[in-house]
Amino acid sequence: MEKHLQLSLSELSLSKREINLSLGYGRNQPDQLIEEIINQELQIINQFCRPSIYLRILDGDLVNHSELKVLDTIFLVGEIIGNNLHGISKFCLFVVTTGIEFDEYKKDLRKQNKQLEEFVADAIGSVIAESCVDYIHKYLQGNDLKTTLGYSPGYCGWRLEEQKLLLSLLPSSKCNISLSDSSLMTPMKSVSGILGVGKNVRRKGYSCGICTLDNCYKRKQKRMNLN
Amino acid sequence: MIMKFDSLTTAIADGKLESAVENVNLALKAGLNPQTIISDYLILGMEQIGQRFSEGKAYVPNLLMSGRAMKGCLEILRPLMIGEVSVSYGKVVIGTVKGDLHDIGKNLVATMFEGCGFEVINVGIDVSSDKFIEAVKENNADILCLSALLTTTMTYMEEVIKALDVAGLRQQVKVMIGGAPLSESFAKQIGADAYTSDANSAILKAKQLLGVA
Repeated sequence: MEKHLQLSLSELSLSKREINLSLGYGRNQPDQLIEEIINQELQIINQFCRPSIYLRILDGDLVNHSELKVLDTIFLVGEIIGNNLHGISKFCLFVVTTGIEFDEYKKDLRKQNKQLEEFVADAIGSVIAESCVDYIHKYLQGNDLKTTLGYSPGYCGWRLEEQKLLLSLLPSSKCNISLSDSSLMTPMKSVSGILGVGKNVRRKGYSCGICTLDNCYKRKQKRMNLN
Repeated sequence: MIMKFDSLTTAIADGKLESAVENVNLALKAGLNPQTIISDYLILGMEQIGQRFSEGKAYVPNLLMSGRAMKGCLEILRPLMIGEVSVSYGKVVIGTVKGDLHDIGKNLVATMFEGCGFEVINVGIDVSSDKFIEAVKENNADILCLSALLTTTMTYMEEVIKALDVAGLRQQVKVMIGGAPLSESFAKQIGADAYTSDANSAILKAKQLLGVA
């Protein structure tokens, strides 16, 4: 199964709470002026941003507790992800992006020295990308498939360098994403990853307790949620 | 008669650009010299918002608003200071290392440094060790701030520090690092002088490193 989806922001139902979280507010509310800037940026971004999702479901299986084989490619996903994908035989490889227009918009804000607006737009971009990943889960569930959590190179012990391998299994032309030597994606607000799918898949939580990545954003968000 | 312009400090701390600019003009009219306005009122406002941030009572957007108000005031004051020796805590060269294009956090730190009384040379993104060395040498920098957001680019920081050593500059400049995947232990491992996790603690650490805290 392969699917290329182009969405409008209204289809993603962006959460204000997630935006506030991405801006560093935790459970607190931004003051009125910041709230106005968030609304203003959302309105502008809504006019041009058409996020893209490309997904491909392939057969695969765990070679051992930390290596995942999909087609002929072996991913060194590490033990945390390996444990969570144990027993699964179908995997959804995906890439999502806010599109190059989003990068251009942020560049324009920088040129105009609108640092605050750029910061807010950046946070909104992160939420859009994450919401696209949520959309994939819903889309697959709508097709009667259960999903595990999504895992991306650079997190949970999976090395960022493996993004090259992952993208090699997805046609880059579909989402117009390119990768630098340092594994940086352009457009910058893009997420690639993998999730287990199947009729009987069980979802486990992120294992922050055994992960060594102290500054992971998922861990930070958990901390903020507690504040 | 000595007039107090505490409202100027408050306007900076609250990130109110228009009010800050209005108060700067009033202070100038009252005869205050630009350097006094900067050191006695504006920097104080930035320190206040920094303090609120470290106490969890303010957030990054608040820092940016204060930075914007500060910039607006400096745009008025700087042209009036031509020929005067400006007082600064020190010179900071800041950039994102080679292979990395992230710059929002780095620019925030640069704005805070500027607002808190440092002279800042922002060398941008995707910066090679040669370019960092050149900037440190040319500006006789006191601090070099390196930023990276990727695990694949953070390792380049060590190369920059080694290059400083080879160029004979390591003893004259303090190296501070920052970025999401970094940590205190990584800073130690590569021989940096400090790691900080946010803009405000970067300012405090820089002052401490230069002995101006």
